[in-house]
Amino acid sequence: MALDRFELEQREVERPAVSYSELSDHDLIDATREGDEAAFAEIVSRYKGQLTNYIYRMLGDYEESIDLAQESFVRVYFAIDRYHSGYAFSTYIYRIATNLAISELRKRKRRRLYSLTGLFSYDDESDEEYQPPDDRPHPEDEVVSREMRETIGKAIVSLPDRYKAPIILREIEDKTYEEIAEILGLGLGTTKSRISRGRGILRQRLERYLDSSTDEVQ
Amino acid sequence: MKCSDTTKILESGARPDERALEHIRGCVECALVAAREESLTSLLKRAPGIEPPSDFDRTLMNKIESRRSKPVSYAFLRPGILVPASAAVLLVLVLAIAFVLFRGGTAPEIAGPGVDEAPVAGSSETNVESVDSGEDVPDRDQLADTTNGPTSDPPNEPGAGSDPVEPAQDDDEVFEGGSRDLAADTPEDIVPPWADGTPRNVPEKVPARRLSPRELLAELGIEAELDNGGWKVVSVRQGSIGSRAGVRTGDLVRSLDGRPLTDAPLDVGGKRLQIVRGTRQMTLTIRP
Repeated sequence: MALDRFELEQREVERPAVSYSELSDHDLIDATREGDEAAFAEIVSRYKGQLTNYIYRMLGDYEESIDLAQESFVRVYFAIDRYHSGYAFSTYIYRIATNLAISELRKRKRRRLYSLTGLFSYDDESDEEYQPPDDRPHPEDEVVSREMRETIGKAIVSLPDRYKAPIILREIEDKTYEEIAEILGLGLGTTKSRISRGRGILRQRLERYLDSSTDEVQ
Repeated sequence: MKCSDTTKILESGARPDERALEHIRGCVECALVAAREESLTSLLKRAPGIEPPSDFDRTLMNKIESRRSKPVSYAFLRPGILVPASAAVLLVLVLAIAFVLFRGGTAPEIAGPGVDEAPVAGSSETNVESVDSGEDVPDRDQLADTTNGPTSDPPNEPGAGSDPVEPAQDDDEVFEGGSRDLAADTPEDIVPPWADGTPRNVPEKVPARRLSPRELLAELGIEAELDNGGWKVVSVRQGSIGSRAGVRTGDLVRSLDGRPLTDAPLDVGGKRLQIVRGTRQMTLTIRP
């Protein structure tokens, strides 16, 4: 069993004196390079939540988001020797995830094109509307209805591709402009401009909720 | 700070600096914009999220294991793929070269712009004989099919069976270059191809005419005598089209655009004159 072997290898490698959770990303990468797969497991546990959510907000597809998040980690693992600590690991892995998500969006566009010709019956809406069951308690549900949350999700997913990633990274992932520019390989000015335009589109689409929110704020 | 500047900062999602904050405190409109943008920011944070499944790590490690045991990179460099792919590319290249060579061999003459020279293995006598025997140059019957100049009655429809090497407008270019006036001197030789009433499919400004080779050469300013299947140039008028093309006294003019200049009348037109000068076979380009 693959996992058994993975656990066996963990035992063979010399463990660090401190807990993995106390190590920096770069330390964990160094440990992974030396064969410590538990260090890699710590990286996975640190980033899997935010990465899966990031891709989910890009695609609006639960299964695909899980799959692409895992694929991002697989790529990190096999290219770990090529990674250099010149910039943050989070930037590195977000960049990989972004590229995978954009590639998937392009594939979908092509499939949509085929479906227009009648070759395939691809229901594009079904992906966007799918909401996986989430049993976690939502304290804000008292104020913000589930419908509103779905509308917000749809408004983001349906943004033009060039605005989608900058908006998610800025507004949801709380990345700085510099980090976003680095993740997306864009200039700082272009990044700011795309965020501003993306916000403009969202402002129009979520106008009715904005009014009520404004009332709440006041 | 102006309202427009403050609004721009707020709508971009950037955090307002001290100056902007000071302006917002004193401006009701900008305060409303700030509230709206703040509500948009907080609204976007409520976008639905997901929780990775409990078997996320296990599935990931399985993927890594399977990828490790089955490397897929550079699969195209395996001999099983590389060899047939290379053979296919080679085959396509060979076919392309064969096609180009085949096309080049069947065309009467393909010459580039300007004076193209090609050394001839034998003497000029050999070349003239080859014109007579038709070894190198197609005979007139063949040419009647491959050129737009009909050589037998009734004349063919213009454009039908035009030379694939030479576009039809080339004849027009030469015609406009100076043959029109001289042609008017020999109306009896002018036989329009639509004389039999067949529908024509060419613009009216391109009338096809037939001239004897002597007259045709005279149009180019070349005086020549029939000599063993070709036309031996006796003199070339200074400044004439023939002179500009590079025709010299003593040249043996063999063909025009691949059509042999025998004593039978030819259509006016053409762009390239094939001659033999000494032991060299040359193609001269006519520039009206």
